[in-house]
Amino acid sequence: MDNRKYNILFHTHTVSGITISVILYVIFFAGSFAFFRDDINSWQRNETAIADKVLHLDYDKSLKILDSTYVLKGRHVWFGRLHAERQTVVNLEATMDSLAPKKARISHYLFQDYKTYKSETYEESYALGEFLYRLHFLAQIPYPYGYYLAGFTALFFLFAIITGFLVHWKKIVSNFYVFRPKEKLKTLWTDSHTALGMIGLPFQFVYAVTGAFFLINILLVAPAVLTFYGGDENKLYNELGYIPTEYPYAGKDLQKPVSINAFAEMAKKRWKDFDVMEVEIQNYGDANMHVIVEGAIPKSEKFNGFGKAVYKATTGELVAQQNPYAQTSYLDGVKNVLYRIHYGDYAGYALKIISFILGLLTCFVILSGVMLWLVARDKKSMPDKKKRFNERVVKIYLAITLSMYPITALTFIAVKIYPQAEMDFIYSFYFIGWLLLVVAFLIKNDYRFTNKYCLLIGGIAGLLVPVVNGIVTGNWFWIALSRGLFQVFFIDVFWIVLAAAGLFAFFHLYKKERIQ
Amino acid sequence: MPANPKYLNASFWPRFAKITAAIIGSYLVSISFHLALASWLNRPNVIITTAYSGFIVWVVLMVVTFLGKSGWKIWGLYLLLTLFFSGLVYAGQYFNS
Repeated sequence: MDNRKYNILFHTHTVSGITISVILYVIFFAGSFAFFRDDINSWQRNETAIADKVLHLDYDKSLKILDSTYVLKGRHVWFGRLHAERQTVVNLEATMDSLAPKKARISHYLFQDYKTYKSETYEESYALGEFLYRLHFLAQIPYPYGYYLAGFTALFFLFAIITGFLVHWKKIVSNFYVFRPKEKLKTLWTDSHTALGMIGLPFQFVYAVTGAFFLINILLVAPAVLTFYGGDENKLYNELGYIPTEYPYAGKDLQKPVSINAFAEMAKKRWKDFDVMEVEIQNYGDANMHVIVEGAIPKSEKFNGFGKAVYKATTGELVAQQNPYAQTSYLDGVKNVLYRIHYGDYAGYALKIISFILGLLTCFVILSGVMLWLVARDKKSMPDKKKRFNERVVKIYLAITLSMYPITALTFIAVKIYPQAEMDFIYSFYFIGWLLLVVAFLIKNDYRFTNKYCLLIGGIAGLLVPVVNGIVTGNWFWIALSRGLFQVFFIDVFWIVLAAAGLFAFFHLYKKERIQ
Repeated sequence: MPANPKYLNASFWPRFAKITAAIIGSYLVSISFHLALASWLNRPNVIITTAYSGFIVWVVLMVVTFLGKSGWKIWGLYLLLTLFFSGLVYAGQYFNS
């Protein structure tokens, strides 16, 4: 590569990287926690759920309870276990029966506990895991601005990844083995930025591409819809198989009641090891009621092994089916992989822990890039005014990014001390607390101080998370484990390990400063 | 060491041309290219593949744009390519609908 190309790539890498750095850090930091979204939610509610996406529901019992509150006649009812929590997602569409009572005409999106069968609305079920999950695509900024901001950040992150990769191309192998943390500060930042960036590269590439797709897919979808589907996006989604077949509403009553449990059982027995993950009932209580049972065989057997059985309720006849053991179409495979590789939910806790570590490692790569930017410009030839400006920028960046660690730990404590914590509480505690920390660190105006005290406060608060949980709920982590509350145990231990690692870094820094 | 400025565009308009060609021009080429493929090959398969390749091609072209000598020339090239792919889409609609 000639000098001209190298310098251009280097410059575009710097500019794109420094522009997105703060938002990208927020995305990766919150996103790392989002791998444990379901565990954090269960931990906050002091309960545990079976760690899978399988429906553990007595459908008939659930429907009976829902019917008494919401009137199901003529509705489409959908059950899905989107999260490894006790809450099953239930979607009730508005009824198609023109004679139905008023309250059947309101659609509902509910969360029903598969043990107690108590239903909650989205707001009632809101918890810290959901908050951190949504923070990682900036959903707290009004739609669609937050989504688009995060989506374009992902897009330019992809740009920074490719330019960064090309800049280091020639030295990839040799630099990988170079780590000179003791030489001088600049080499520490350079070496960690390149070596860790290299380790995280495949991971980051996948997240940049899929992340951009989730948030700004409209840029790809809209031209296709306008060109091929006459502006009707439903036609596109239908061709891509996202829209299920609709069975028309007959307007006549179902003569004798049917058992949804029986249909689910029938589908389950149809294929070996088949797990039921979604059940949709179309035209509830109507003569043309249909039951659609969807699910998959274990991922260890086949990564894209989904199956589906559609029954007509009156006759019990199998109307349509998809065999999970048959060859998966290219379309279905690609659709599934897009989500699985981003969520990292196909290989249990081990993959989630590795993904979490790679996520935090990416945060470190981002920060070392920012530090590198600063240190590389700290030269005699640089005018003082510019130097001061650069330093100011870095101080603000570090105050915003580093204080995420303590405020996240403190919020975990807050939701335990105040168990009624709902959406408003989590929002105000997290965002106001974050702002206060940032302001305090900016007043102190010393980024070494910011770094040290973020590690210290985060570490102490992190260690207090399991303690507060133990005192408030009595479920100390060893008791939680013996009671089978695995998700509670997991989050407690997770914080102990994370806080210990943070404190280790703090004492290491502290010791070094004392020697100097 | 920051990049050596002697290799970078210093004045506003050449810079403007490059940045817009990188972001908008590359997008137009990437999209029209994928639409051209979709109009001649298996449409749903191409469209779902675009979920991955659409952004990758876009960003790779962005990088290529910055390496080019003149932003205006690249704009011209990208517009020609977009026109060419749009022609393929149009022909595809006509002969292969």
